[in-house]
Amino acid sequence: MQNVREKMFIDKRAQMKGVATTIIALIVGLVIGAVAMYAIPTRPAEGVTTVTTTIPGATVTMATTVTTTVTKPPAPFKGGTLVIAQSEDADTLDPHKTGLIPAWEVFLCIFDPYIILDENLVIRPHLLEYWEVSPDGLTYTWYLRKGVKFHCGYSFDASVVKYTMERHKNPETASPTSDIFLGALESVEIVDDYTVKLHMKAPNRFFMTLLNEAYTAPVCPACIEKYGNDYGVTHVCGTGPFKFVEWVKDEHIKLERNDEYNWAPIYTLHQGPSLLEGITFRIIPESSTRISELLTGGVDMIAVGGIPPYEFERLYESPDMTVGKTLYGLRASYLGFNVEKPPFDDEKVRLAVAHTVDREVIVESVLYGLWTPAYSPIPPGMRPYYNPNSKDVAPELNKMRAEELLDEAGWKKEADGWRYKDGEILEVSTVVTAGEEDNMKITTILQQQLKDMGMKLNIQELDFTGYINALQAGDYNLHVWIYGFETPDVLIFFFAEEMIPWYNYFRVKDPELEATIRDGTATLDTAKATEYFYKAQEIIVNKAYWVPIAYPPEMTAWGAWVKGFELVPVRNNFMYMNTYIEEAAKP
Amino acid sequence: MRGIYAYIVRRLLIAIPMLLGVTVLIFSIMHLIPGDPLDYMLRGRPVTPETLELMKEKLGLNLPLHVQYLRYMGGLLRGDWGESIRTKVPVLTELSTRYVNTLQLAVLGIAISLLIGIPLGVIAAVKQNSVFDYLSMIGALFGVSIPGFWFAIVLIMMFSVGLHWLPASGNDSVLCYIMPALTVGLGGTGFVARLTRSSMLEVLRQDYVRTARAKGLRERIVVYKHALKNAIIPVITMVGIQFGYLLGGTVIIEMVFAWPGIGRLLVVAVWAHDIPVIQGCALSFTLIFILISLTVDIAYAYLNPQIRYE
Repeated sequence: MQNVREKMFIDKRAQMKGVATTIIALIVGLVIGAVAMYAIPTRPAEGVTTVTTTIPGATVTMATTVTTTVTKPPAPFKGGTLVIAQSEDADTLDPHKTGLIPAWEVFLCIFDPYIILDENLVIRPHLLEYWEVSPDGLTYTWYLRKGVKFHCGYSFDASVVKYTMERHKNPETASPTSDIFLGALESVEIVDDYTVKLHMKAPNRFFMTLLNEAYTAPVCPACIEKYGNDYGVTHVCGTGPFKFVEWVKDEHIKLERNDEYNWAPIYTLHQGPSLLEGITFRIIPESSTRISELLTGGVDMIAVGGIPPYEFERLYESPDMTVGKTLYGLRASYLGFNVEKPPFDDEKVRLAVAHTVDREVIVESVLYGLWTPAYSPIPPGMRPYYNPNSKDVAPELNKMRAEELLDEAGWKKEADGWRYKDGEILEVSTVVTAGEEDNMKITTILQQQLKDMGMKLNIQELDFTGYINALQAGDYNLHVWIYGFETPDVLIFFFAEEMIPWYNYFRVKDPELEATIRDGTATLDTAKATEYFYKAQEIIVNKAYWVPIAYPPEMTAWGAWVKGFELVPVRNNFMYMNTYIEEAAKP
Repeated sequence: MRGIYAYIVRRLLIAIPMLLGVTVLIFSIMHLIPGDPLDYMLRGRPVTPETLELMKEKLGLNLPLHVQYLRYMGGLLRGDWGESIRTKVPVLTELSTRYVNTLQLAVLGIAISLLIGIPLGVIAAVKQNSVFDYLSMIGALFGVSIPGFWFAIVLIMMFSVGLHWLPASGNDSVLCYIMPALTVGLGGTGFVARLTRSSMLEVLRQDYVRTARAKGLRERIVVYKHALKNAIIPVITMVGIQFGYLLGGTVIIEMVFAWPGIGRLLVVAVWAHDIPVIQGCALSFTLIFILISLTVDIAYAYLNPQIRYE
């Protein structure tokens, strides 16, 4: 008995010791944690030396004539390798078989488009020296640039153009991008080695503009025949300033300088090979890791769209980082209604919502003031079709008017704050998806704004494919989304009756709107086209099919040791032509 | 010994209906979830309804479900695991290039958890109720409770951004292995330490341990030769199962450290509704799990003479 008591006594002492140790350990742990947050040593910033470099042999010509000026390329410049962080891996590097952005970022480097869009979206010659259009808009005659070679040595000529376009349009290829870029094309005819005639199904003023896209760039027939299904997987060949070296899935895509390159457009600083010796795309899925890599110099730049908006403040303040923001963008976010489902089958109710949305609040609160409030469904970058006075023609924030409209529509506010009509509550639903965080945030603010108006908004969160399916099935009343493109003819996909339910999630059947968009697309007269698209914008906002919300900025950041790089609104493969790495300035 | 061979054969035969069940399960689930691979491929790219139909046909998505399933199973029996809908690369190639990377992490994680966890547990048990015991068990509790995702990001902030000692992501140098392995090993270490400790405590109370002490054997031999050998049995069993989990559970760590492993492949495959890849991952996980649990059970029999399989 005594042993047991002794044992109990000893155990109790040990227990007290244990409890005390635990509490002390916890306190110590918390203190260490708190101190560590502030006391982690950071490397002292080293002095940055500025290195001025002159690029030998460069000439800046402002000629817009037809003759191609080929300046002697400068000696191979040691510009270093630019490492860009992407958030996702490409699915394939065959430009005809993918529509994904990470693949497109690579295409910008290894392919040359036929034409280039400058910052005013004016078409400039590139692989085309010049072109002619027949008055009826049905025939284009292209005069191709001479002396352009693929990375494998194959020559660029008329047969390449025909091969590329036919492969792109071929049903066997099943390309996701042939409809938007080559939908209007009927056939390609070779006139001679450097002259091609393109026959169109119908006139389309945007056909040439869209050839700026790397998806339509010429591909090498020899390599495609040689590599077959491996083309785009183990090998890719273009005419661009960078050559494909290797692709290690989920890790990186390595490109190296094309030393034979000497056909850059006139308005880049020089026309020879790029200053960079290579570009490497590293795939880093987690955003905080991407930014950590940028801050430590593990990567030199993050691809556009790879930085969450709340991180920019930290990057703005860092002296080692350069943040770039384009003056205007080519994307617009909108609130779209399902016009077949009550209550938004009633135009008055839609207009009431249009008068309720407070864009300024949305932009300031959840978009960090970085976006621009929108009154037109067309983003400002789509010049000249964007109406700069769109604010004057669109429904503005006007809560009194909104209430009037809802009352007129029969939805009366009751004591509980919600509106009712014939005993039914004004309740609507929307879907959001986790991948689109900005849209989720906008929808949440909207929910509050609609609540003040007496409308109940239920938000359902789905995964991406579930989200798309819900939009197609039409089981919801409204949704917030973003679209982006270079030309406004893309609106036909959203508002054409035949596109219900694939892109016309809104179930809009408006022959006048459709005709306006199609007429604007077909006419070759810019003034008329502008008129048509101004009209289309008006119809969309005044019938409140969409309520434009805000225009997202195109922003990203790169290390201060990356010189000569500028973020342009319409990205093309000359973004990197003047870029080089200053090794001394790297962390 | 014949008993054990018969046992192994039986276990392997049971594996076949298990694998079959897995394929049916994955196939059903992926088709019950709304969406198809085209939604992922066509993000933001408008196509005409005709092109949509064309693309669906090319992928065989228009065929009735049982035909799609039988096609897949037919290929499987011939050793063809199909090709990824997203990248058109054979599934076996996608898996084989990545398995090594995940395996490296899993092995390192297990090694860390054993090398740190077992000694910690043994000493804690031998010195029960001491300061060491309490501190190490609190540490173990933290290890098990801390979310790997958070721990990984904190490590990156401290050792990459703060100290510039280690690279934040990738796997091209030896330094790249340190943080991911620590993160993977974190939970395992805590778990192994606690399990070893409780197992040791139980064993140390046994009569034969008292006998060994009474015989005058040195404490160290008592502990390590007689006690540990038996205490370690449940640990080995659990570690085997842990290894199986780790192969699938390194997803978060692979995403944070941009580690090119199976976990990342699976995440993207689920987003993209890439059913052949998902099936490939599930089948390989199941196979590996079956083999591991079989190995563990045999090791168990070896370690504990009382266990014999009839």
